[in-house]
Amino acid sequence: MIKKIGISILVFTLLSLNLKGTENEKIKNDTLKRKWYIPRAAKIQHAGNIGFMSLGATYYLVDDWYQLSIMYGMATDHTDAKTLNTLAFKNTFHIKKFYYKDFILSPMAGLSINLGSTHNTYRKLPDYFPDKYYFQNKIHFAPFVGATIYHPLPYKTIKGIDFYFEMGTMDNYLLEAIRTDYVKYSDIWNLALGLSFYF
Amino acid sequence: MRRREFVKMSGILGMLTLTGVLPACNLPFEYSPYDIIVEKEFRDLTAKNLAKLKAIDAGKSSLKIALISDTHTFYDEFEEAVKALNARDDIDFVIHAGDLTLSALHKEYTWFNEIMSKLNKPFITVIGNHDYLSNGKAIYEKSFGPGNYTFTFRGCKFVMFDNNIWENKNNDPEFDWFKANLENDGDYNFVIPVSHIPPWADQYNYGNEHVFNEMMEENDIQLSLHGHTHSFYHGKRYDQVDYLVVGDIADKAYAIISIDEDSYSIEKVSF
Repeated sequence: MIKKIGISILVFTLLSLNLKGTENEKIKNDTLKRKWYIPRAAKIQHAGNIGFMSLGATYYLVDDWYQLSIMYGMATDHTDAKTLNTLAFKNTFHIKKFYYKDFILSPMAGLSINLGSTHNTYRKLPDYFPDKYYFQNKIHFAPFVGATIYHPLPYKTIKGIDFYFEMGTMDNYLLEAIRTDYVKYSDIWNLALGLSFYF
Repeated sequence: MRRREFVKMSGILGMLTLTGVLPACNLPFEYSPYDIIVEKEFRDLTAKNLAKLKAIDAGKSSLKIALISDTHTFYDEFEEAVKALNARDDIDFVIHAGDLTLSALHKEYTWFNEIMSKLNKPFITVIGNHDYLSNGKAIYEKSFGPGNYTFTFRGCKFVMFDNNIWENKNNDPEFDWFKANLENDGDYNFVIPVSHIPPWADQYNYGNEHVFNEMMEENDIQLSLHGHTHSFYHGKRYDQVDYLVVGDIADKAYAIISIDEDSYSIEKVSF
């Protein structure tokens, strides 16, 4: 277990070191002035624990390396509730940029805050429960790593497109991977695929 | 030209991703934390285990049961328990008295089932309050079967009862079903109810506590099996019915119930 905690700390340290480096790699490819509420990109994503299909808008919080995507996803399969709605706030950090011809490959890491509810999901427990009987289970913190491949497009409305994949997990599962020997780090990941359209 | 190259590259990348990289990583798609995913081998486990019990029912009149409970996410201790139980050849089957999981997420159920699949004896379960969280009840039903059921083994009738209240939207358990099934309707040596929550624990108010115990007394029940409190208890709390509560698996102990026709004994075993 101590070894596992050590590995976790090392991974997070390495990730944050990489993030610092990217500050010097700003690429000012967008000189348009736009209102703060106009998103930089629209996203469509499959899976990733935020619905079978989710749609969202991406904002640049710090240049283009720290992005926030607000996603709304729906799932009807695999859930007991008729439709499961999920709202996700995906904080994505683009670690580095690699250029190849017209393509930009960018590894990324992030933390998504997912809100979803179904039967017996609580943020605040009903009155008949004693205080702190259960930990809230409506909001999940979902770390992920992945990569995007960006390509500019010669259109006025859509200036570029990227394909991305993410390997993500969730607070509950990550905790068990750290805490127990039985749950291995390799057991806890799931996959998301998506496209972003840049305006 | 640029566009053509882009389409070509996307195609190559897509093919590579789909054919090689992704299957090798064995990464599944998940649509929500509350997905009801149960692998085929882990479905209908109650029926599968009852069939195993039926196969070993005849030829003997005595039986020995191991009782465990509240394994939650104590996976390491749980694995040790399975090893300890596997090392014994005198146990006929294992009862898990509920709280198989902590948050009732599908991966937790899968990890429970993976560990339990290494057990070399039949096992049966009741649903615990934690197993109800999010879509847990639906996963439990898919993986095991209904929450309330009965079965018989070597002259004993077992009444497996879902007695959770708060997670069932603060509704009373199906006491009518329970009362009807506690009846000794087949000249059994013992009728043994198994439910997660003992009647004096948190989810039972004064009324329900006494309703539960009175049903036992009216039906002349001698032994009732439970978990939930995370501490071992064995005694006649209300004078008549013998209550056995086994602690969580992190206590590194299980209980053995030995039944020999008209008598039984209880033993706590540490591993």
